[in-house]
Order: sequence, then C-alpha cells, then structure tokens
Amino acid sequence: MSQPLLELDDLAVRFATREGPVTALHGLSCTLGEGEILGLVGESGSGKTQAALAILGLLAANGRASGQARFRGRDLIALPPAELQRLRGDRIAMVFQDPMTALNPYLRIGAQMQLALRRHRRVSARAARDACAEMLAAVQVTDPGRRLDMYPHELSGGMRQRVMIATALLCKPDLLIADEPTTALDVTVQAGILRLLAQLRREHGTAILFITHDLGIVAGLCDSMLVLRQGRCVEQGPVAEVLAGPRTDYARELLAAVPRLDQPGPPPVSMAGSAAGPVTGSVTGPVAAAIAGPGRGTGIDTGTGTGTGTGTDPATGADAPVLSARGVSVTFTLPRPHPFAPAPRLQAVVDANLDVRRGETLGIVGESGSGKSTLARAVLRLIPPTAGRVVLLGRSLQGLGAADLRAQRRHAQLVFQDPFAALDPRLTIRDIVAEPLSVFEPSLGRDAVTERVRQALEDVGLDPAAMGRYPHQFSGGQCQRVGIARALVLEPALLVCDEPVSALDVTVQAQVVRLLARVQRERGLAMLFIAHDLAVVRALCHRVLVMYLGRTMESGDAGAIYREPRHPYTRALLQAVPAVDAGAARSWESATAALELPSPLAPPSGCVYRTRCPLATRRCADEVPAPREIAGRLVACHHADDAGLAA
Amino acid sequence: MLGFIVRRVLDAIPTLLVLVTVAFFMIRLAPGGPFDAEKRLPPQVEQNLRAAYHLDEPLPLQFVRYVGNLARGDFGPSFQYRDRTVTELIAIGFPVSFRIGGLALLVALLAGLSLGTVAALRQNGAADHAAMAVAMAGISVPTFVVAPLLVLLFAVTLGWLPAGGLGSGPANLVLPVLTLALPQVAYIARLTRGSLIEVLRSPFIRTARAQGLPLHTILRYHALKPALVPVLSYLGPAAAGLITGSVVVEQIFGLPGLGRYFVTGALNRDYTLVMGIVIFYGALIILCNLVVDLLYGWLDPRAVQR
Repeated sequence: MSQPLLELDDLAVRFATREGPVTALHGLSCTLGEGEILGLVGESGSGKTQAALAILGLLAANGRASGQARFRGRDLIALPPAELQRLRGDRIAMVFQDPMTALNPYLRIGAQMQLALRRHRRVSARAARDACAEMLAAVQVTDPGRRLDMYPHELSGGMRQRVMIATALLCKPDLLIADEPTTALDVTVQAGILRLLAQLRREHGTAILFITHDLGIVAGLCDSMLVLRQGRCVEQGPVAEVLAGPRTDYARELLAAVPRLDQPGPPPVSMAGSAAGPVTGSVTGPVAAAIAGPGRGTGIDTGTGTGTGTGTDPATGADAPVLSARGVSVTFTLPRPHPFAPAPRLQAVVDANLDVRRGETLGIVGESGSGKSTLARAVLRLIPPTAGRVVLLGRSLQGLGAADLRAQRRHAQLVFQDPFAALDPRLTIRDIVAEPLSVFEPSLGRDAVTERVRQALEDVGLDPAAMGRYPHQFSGGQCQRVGIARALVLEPALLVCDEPVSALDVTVQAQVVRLLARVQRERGLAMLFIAHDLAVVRALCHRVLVMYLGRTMESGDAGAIYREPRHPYTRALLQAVPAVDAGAARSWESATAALELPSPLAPPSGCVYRTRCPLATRRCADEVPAPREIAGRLVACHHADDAGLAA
Repeated sequence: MLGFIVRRVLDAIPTLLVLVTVAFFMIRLAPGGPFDAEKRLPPQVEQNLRAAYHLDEPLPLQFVRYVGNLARGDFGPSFQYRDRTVTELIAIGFPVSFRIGGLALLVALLAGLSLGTVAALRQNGAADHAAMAVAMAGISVPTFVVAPLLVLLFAVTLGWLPAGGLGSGPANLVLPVLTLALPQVAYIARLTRGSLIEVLRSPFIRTARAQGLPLHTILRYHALKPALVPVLSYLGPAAAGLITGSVVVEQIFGLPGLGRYFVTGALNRDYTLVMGIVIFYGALIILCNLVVDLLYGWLDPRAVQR
C-alpha cells in the first residue's frame, strides 16, 4: 500500500460552450487504494460522471480536464492519447448506466466482447470466444455459449448489464469505474449486480470507483465515499463515518431525503378522510359533492341510494371507494410471427381487484413488466380491459359512451413519469395547466382560468409569476410540480401517479413525495401510486398491491406488509432494497437469487412466481394459488403460512 | 424469411393492378392516337389498323383484353416499331440502361460513402466543408447541364473519351455513368455524413472507446452498419430510378436505353410500349424496395423481430 492505485489531484473539468466556459468539476482530490471501493455520490449535474470520463480521457470534444489523475503514478491527464487508449479497457475499464444504449444494438454480444478482448490480448478467435463465454459464466449469465450469438435486444436489462460487466472484466482490470450501473434496473436485479461487484473485489482485488446517487448502495458496498455537489467535493471519508455523522448540511439533507423501508408510513386514512377533517375546505364545487356524494356525507349506505344500483360494490360497505375494480384483465394480441402462425397473446394483467377510498393511497409495486402501469391504464379505460368491472365514483365505466366516459374521466387525473416529456414544450406553464379546464369547463372566462391556474400553481409550491414561462426553463422537479398542478386543477377525486418521482434526484424526489402527501391530505384525494421503489411507496401508501407477471401476489395494509411480508416475492423485493444505515445488514447480499423474469408470453404453469421462488414445490407447478386471507391481507401463495413462520 | 418474401410478392399484385389501371386510362385520355402522323393515313387503312389492334372496341373491353394478355405475360405488339413486341423492345433497352445505371450506382455508393465518412470524421473542418460544397453542387446542377459540360471537356477539348454512342469498349460508358452518378454521390455523401455523426455520438460508441478500441476499429465494426441504415432507405427508390435509365442521359449520349423508348413511346402514343415500360418500372421499384427491406434485416437485427 505504498502507492495508491488512483490518486486524483485537483482534477477539474471545463467545457467550452457558446455561453462561455462552464466548469463541471472544481478541483477534485481523493485517493483509491488497491481493491478498495469508493462511492462517488451526487445528484444530476454534480459532475460525478464527468470526473470518470476525465480519468479515461473520454470527455466530449469541447471538454478539457486539468489537474492530475495518477494511476499507479502515471498521470492519465497528461498521457499521450495512444497510451491512454492502450490502458482503457485493459487496466481501467468502465461500465455505463444504461445497458440498453451502451451496448451496440447492431452487433452480436460475442462480437462486441471479442473486439474488446482482442484489442488488448493476442489470442485466436477461438480462444477469444471461449474466454468470453467463460467470463459470461463468471458473471452468472445463464447459457453463455448461446448468449454470445445473441443481440443485446434479445436480453433482459439485468442480463445486458451483466454482459457489460463481463466485457469490462475480460482483461482483468485493476480499476473498474461503474457509472450508475444499477439505476436502470429493478431492485431484485440490482441486488444481483451489487453482489457480483462485491464478489469481484473479494476474489480478484479489483478496485471500484462506484458512481451513484443511491446512498443505500454506498452504505452496503463502498469503503469510502465522496459527496459531490455542483462540481465541488462537499464531504469525503469512510462510509461508516460519513453516514453516521455527516458534517455538512448538504450531506445531511441528502441522507434525510433517502426514502427508507423502516420509516413510518403516511398518517392513517381516518384522519384525512373524515368529513370534519381540518382542510376539506379546499375541495369545492361539484366534485366535492361527488366525493362526499351518496353515503359519505349522509352516513347512509350507498347500496340503497338512487342511481348507484349498478355502480357500488356491495362488499365495500358504507365507505364507498372512489375507485373500485373487480376482475380486471388485459390481454394483448401480438402480431403473428408468420402468416400461418396463431397470434401470440400476452396476458399483461390477470384478474386484478382493487379499491381506493377517499384520502387513501394505494401503491402498486412490482418489477418492470409486472403489468402495474397497464393495470392503472386499464382501470381508467385508457387501454380497454379485456374483462372486469371498474366503478369510478359510483358509476360503472363499462358501456359508457365516449362523451360520458370523458365526463367521468375528469374525476381521475394522471401524473406521469417523465416530467419533461409529459409537458408540451411549445406551451407556457399557464396554458399547460389551463388545458384540462378548457376541455371540462369551457364556459370559464379567461381571468377565471388564470385564477384557477394561479391557485393550482400555489398549491404545488410554484411561484405563479412563472406562468408565462416554458417547460425547458424549469428543472425536473419543478416540471413535475407543473404536471401535478395540471392534474389538480380540475379538483379530481382520484389521482393516478405513474412512477412520478423515479426520474428525479433524491432530494427533489423527497420534496415531490412530501407535496403529494400534503395535497392528498388537504384534499382527501384517493390516490393510485405506481412505483418500483418500495421505499417511496412506504412513505406515501396506506395499502399496497404487489404484482408479478400481471398477477397480484399480495395486497393489503402497507404497514403490515412491510413489517411482515407473507408472499415470498414481496419478501424478495423488500430484501433487495439496499438499506442506508451504515453497518446495517447488507440484506441484498442474502436476497433471493434474482433469476430471469420468465417470458410473459409463456408464463410458468400454476404459480407464475415458482421459477424464482425458494419455497416452490410440485403443487406450485400444478395449481394456481388462489388469493387467501392471511394476517389481514390477501396472499396468493400455497406456502404463505410456512413463509410466515419462516420470516 | 421466406414467408416474408411471399407475403411481399403477394402484396405487390394489387399495387401493380392499380398501376396498370391508372396508366391504361391515362394514356388513352391523352389527345391523339398511335396512328396520327403528320400525313394522315387513308381512312380505310386507319380503320383496318385500328381493327387489327382492337382499338375500335369499347374501352372497358380493351382493358379486359389487355389485362388478360398481361396475365399470360404478353405485353402485346408495339404500335410504333411494328415488327417488334414490347417484350422484345424491353429486352433490347433494359440491358443498356441496367449496365449504365448499375455502374452509376456502384460509383455513387463508393464515392458517396467515402466522401460522407471523411466529412463526418473531419466535422466542420476544411475537408468537411469541401466535400459538402461538392455535394451541394452535385445536387443543384441539373444533369442536362452537367452532361454537355462533361462532353465539352473530355470529348471535345481533351479528346480523351467518345462523346456518345454505345461503341464496343468501356470508354463509351464513362461519361454517362459519371453524369448519372454525380447527383447520387452528393445525396449519399450528405446522408452518410449526417448519420455517421449521429452514430458516433451514441453511447455504445463511447463504450467502444472506453474499451480502448482505436478509431478505425470503431468505425469498421461499431459505426458503419448503423450509419448505413438511412442510406439504405434512400437507396431503394434511387436504385430503381438509376437502372431503369435516364431519358436525359440516354438522349444526350445517344444510347438505345429503356428511357429513350419510354419517351418516344409516350410521344407517339405507342400505348402498349408505354404500358409495358410502366409496368416493368413498377415491378422493378417494388423489387428494389423488397431487396432494401431484406437488407434492413441484415443491417439491423431488431428489424427482423416485427
């Protein structure tokens, strides 16, 4: 340990732009010893990726690095390009964030890997192929020989990232730079990749520079960490020390913003939902009447009322849900592979049931491809469900004509994932927020519309003075607030949020989550919250519904499920989430092996989860588990009782 | 794959039928007929001629008869070249057009791809600006200007190359091929430049650089195939246009190609000849597009999974 592997000394990155020079990184200094893992933490725009690219000499054409980056004593910044090129991929390798775009879609996996290997090693094509297959096997890619002949799009996201890592490791580098390698992946897949990286360091002594925004990963994987903010190092030190006692405000803020599984959930519904609640005043007009509607204000069971005969579900009792869905299924028919083949059918959602009451948030969680977004769209009839019954505010959505359906939809508004893509870049903020009003309240005068928009913007914490500006003048978090204002301006009874915070930085994410919780509490909104981040769901949701391959695995009270998951899939999901506490058990290390998600075109027989389930028995293959009520929630598992004992 | 080809060929039949119908009635809507000459034929002779070619029958009947013959592969006799069938005329004209057009396509591809690649690699440098200026000129100056200029320079002034005619050696092909290729070189160079610049910015090229691959390896293995995709989609219609012959070029260089037959046929109201060439063109364009779609599958593996 006489000489560190990597020493950054006042490393800075500047870009020449039309508006003059921009400094992306101000004088970063740190060291990374052999076999160490250093976490480079920061939000978007903090300069963490630029630091990595500067080390490798891969900055964009208008970027210049200054200072020193000594790798085994050689300054990489001053190294001639040809020598640096020989070092790249050999002694220092890099893994990028998005394995979909970072692999060449036009080349077979094997060809890409062999190009990288034979650049640095004189080996025959035959030997190179064998070495690649061996490396794929080492990173737990199943069936490596066959994968070599596949194209990236034929692999799942997790497999692609494993291929990326395998390619980076081909020459056994001393330093691996990993730039948000798990951000685009599901938690269960992420756990597998993290395990792999930890194992890599253990077995080969590879040092890793791990770039991430996720403090949970840093806590579980890294030895030391460095917090960047707007291109400056804010704080650095051993992970345990920094997490236990952050010295700067920003580090504290960052730490506080991380959503946690063990946090208390949202305040109970009864408080928010009661008619005498503190802030119902903000709900006015016909919608409030509709919410308060039959049954709520009067305390009389809705089943007896007029005009609700077909709409309400008798099982739900006095507190009629704002949204109720029974037996909803969505099946897509795909194009035939050849003219004489039967058209393949994809069951995206199978027999889903859900209720969302006033003042209550229902979280729908699951990995990508689990059908959670499809379910949300189907209940709003944005995708026609193939089967099932949906009741919104006491009115069945089935058989409604286009005009009636539109009228009913004003009560259910959507917030989308990508805050920029969801706003028309050519409209001002005022016009964006006013658009729903022009559809549903065309009689409103111009001043009245502006007043409503102003109110909506204030409600989401935006300065109404910004009304005349355009979306690109706002940050991601502000754009998402505009999206929420647009959804709220009609005073809907139901808010459907499809991954509303997953594209945002942690601190911004925390603010938006707080905002959603607040407007819900104040307005007694019913909310459907779709997310893959279980910790965010914990912060907001009263009840959760866990989906896997279109089927509901477990549903019920959020607190109970998070405390004591009964379905093995729920447990696997929860275990896979990295915990932020320093020294906490690295639960993802013991998480159930994240095998490939089976093809939704050919789901496993019986219980769809059985191919990944540690408890699977023959019965699981033969018999579809019916949802059973266990410990106050519905669980679709034959072994749920045993699972409960095992927990 | 085979199923795809079969389906595409079956899809082409209605397209061709529409083409035949529209062309058939359009040419007959044009004033005049095949036997109108400056010196009018005696009425009895014209009457007999019209009867011999069934031109005295009602139009719908003529159409049915024509389509019936077509179904048997018979394009009918030419009205103008009386001792030849349309099939024979196409058989004479097409090889000439095909040879010149095919060579022009080859030249255009080689020169266009190289120019475009150089321009992309030297983006905004002197070589880039020079290549793009040449390309702009190639697109904007029309063929009927370029061709006489080339003849003037190489045939008249320098005397290196023959000014026209088919001749026996390859020397006669040089100027027509150059003339035809020039605008295509320009288009292809511009397309290649644009798409290559785009591809070189993509994340997977950054990955390749992070693997330490040198530029020529990155170009050859990682960048070229994706950069070719937009060029290929331009190539389908362009190839069909090139190999079916250019009227202007064939006229200026005095070549007996298909393009010339087409124009003289249209001027003389040689109904069957025009129809025959229109159908032949149509079929060729459909064929070229099919080839391009198959090449797509080879270039972009994701395109196969449709």
